[in-house]
Amino acid sequence: MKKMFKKARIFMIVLAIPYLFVMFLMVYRVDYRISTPGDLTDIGRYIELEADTYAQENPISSIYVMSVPRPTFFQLIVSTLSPSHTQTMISPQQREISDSANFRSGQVARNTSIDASFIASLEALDMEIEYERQQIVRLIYNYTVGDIEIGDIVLSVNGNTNIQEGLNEVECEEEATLEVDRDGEIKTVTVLRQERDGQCVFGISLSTYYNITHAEIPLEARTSLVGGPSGGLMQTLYIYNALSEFDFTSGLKITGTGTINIDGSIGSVGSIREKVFTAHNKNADVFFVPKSGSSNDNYSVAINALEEIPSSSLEIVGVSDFVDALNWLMAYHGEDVDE
Amino acid sequence: MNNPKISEVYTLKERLLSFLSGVILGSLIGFPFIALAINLLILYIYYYYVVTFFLLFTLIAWVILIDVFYYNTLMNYKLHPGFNIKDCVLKHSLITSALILLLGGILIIFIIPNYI
Repeated sequence: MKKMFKKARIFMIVLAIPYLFVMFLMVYRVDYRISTPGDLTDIGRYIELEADTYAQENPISSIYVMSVPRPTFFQLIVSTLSPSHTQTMISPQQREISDSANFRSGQVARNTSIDASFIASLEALDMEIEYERQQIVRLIYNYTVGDIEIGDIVLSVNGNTNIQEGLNEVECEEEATLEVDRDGEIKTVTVLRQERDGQCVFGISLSTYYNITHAEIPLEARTSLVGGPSGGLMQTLYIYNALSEFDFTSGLKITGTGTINIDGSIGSVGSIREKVFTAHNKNADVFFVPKSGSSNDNYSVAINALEEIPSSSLEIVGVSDFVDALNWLMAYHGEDVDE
Repeated sequence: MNNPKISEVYTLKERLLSFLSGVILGSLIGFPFIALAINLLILYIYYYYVVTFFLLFTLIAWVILIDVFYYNTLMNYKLHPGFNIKDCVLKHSLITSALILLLGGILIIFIIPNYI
């Protein structure tokens, strides 16, 4: 019996080494980010227009990719075996942003992009819409000192309604008192301006927020786990198509990516390669992508990614603003292009 | 003649020690598979139907392992002619597995898709 126990003990010790090694691979997280293909989202699932809209033959979809922040060793190794996965090292600056802050920041960017899409499409359709620009807290860092939160709409800084000017007037190692709108409730919060790497910083990022005060047609946006501003272009096309006189999608399965500004111009986005793979996997016909004309813009990256999928029938269309995308669809539909 | 309950055959101490042994042994074997399922689920969340079911089955296998080791350790204490330990393992495993599948299934089919 004792001999058996001794034998089993040696066996257990020998087995423990690969066991612990395997567990280490699957538990220890590394400072990388993996981007993987995601899915198409029918925009009608999260944007509801309170107007008589027709059923679109093929819904216009936004596209999203998955991001795995700080994967385990095992995930990193497995992802390198897949051509559609991309691994990027997390920079020291990105390490100062928590996963939850990243998520909430994505939600703020998404909500702002929906509002910008709504404004851009209604203005393109000559419909009534009134709004005011405000500053919203888009990001806070791990080192930020204060009770400010992501999503707070900043109304004043030390009583100054010019937010940037108010922030600039605060001395280093001094606290700023901010009046913010947090979910409709007015609050007073503080944030410290601190010295960091030889610079005076608050540790917050602000971005423009559009407070829509009146619109001819009300819009309701539903919450989603998908965040980020890259659905802007497709949301604008969706709203425009839903409110225009006819369906110009021509039965095509349309998707794309790009941020939108209220004047209809489009901004570049990340993870283009994975988005091309996603569009191909989901049998999309057309993929709109921002084109700036430079050799490494989103359009060039998309074209290069498509060359890796020779069997794909996906058509990549480079656009620099919303009207470009609209013109392409109208030309496909056979209508006269009206700018 | 009614079959005796587990509490009538084994003392609380015997049952607690056996359960502890079951959890430790079952977890030692089960944890790498659960870790594998979680790793794959995060990496291939796009195929979350497939991977989440893999995770559910891993959880079920873990519970069954705990059950088997629990009752196996109990058997080392004593055997009772009127107490069928194999039936107990089977019954307990089936109930727990059904519960995990039911809760997991509701989560996968009805709740998660609303947030993606």
